Amino acid sequence: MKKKELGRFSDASYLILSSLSSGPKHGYAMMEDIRQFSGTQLEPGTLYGAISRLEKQGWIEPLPSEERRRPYRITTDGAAVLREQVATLEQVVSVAKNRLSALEGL
Amino acid sequence: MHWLLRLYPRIWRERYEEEMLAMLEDHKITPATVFDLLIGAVDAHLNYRRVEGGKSETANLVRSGILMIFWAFLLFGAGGCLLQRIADPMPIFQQEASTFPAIGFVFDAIVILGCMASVSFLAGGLLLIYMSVRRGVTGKQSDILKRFGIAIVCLILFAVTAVWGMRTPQPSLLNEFLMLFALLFIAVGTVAVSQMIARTEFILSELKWVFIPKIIISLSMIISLVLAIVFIIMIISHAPQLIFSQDMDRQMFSMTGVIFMALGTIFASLGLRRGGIDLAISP
Repeated sequence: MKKKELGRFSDASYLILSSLSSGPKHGYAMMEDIRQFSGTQLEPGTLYGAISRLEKQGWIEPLPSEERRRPYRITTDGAAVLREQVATLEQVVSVAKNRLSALEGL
Repeated sequence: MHWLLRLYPRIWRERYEEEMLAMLEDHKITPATVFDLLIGAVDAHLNYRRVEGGKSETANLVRSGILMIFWAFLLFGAGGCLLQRIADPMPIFQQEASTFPAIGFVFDAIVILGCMASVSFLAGGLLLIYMSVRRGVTGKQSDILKRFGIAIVCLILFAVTAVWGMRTPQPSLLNEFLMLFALLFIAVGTVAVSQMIARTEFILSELKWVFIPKIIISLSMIISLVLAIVFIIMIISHAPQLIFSQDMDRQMFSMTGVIFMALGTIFASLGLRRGGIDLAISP
């Protein structure tokens, strides 16, 4: 995974990929969706910084514009990257849960 | 918010400006949004690149951008030298500067920036020449090596005529001729070096090494120009006798100096736009 190339946009990128995994969305719709499911308010500069990187990586692709708004959709590569990231996060969550249980059992 | 998006690189705006503007119309603008857009603009300058012609075309753009900045610096340097006439003779200038310390401070700042830019110019220029000659030798490119030879001969002739000129009593016709020839040799040598660099097919990764000198030179030019304008205003308001003396050359030299510096800075900014930051350091 080329996570390093995402730089400071790493978290925003995964939020965008998660948002687009439920279907194509334009910038504002993504921003609203991300705010609803994660509580994170992405600002336009950060959102488009991450979008340009994801597009460059080939993890999302633009669709034809609809009245000045351009929707994006996740690509097969993007879905694979998100799946990999989710698996990593699940592993982290699982380990953290076990360790917390052990800590509470002390 | 349109003005904020103008801070983004042109190539970035061509791709995202319209949809981003549409999004901003729906978004509540807060100070955090403005700050985020400013950071986004810097990031886009540093990281966004979309050139259709591929890496070789990108390298060509960066190379021509570098050459523009280096030539712009020569023009700027000539302007800076003309501006220095205000401080001549130094004792009188120092006397004024002791009365109005800000004048001396601004003048010193211009000189320090000029020195920084000159060192960067030398470092970046020598690096480019080294890479160009290496490419000429390995690729057996006679046109590059021929121009390098011309530049070396001109450098030697410049040194000889300049030293000879300094040892000749001034003012004399011989001294003036020698100085004229010295300038001619340095001009021919500079043209030869420029042609040599223009004919070299650099790899983009090589040109990244010239990125830091290029930025130092451009920033120094911009700051120096602002300081030079402040300097002239301060002189006119606090020590007008330094400019408006019986020596009419002072007024002409100082004004021409600032104009040259301004033109140099404009050309340098065009060079930066042509082979910009985004092109020079993107992967």
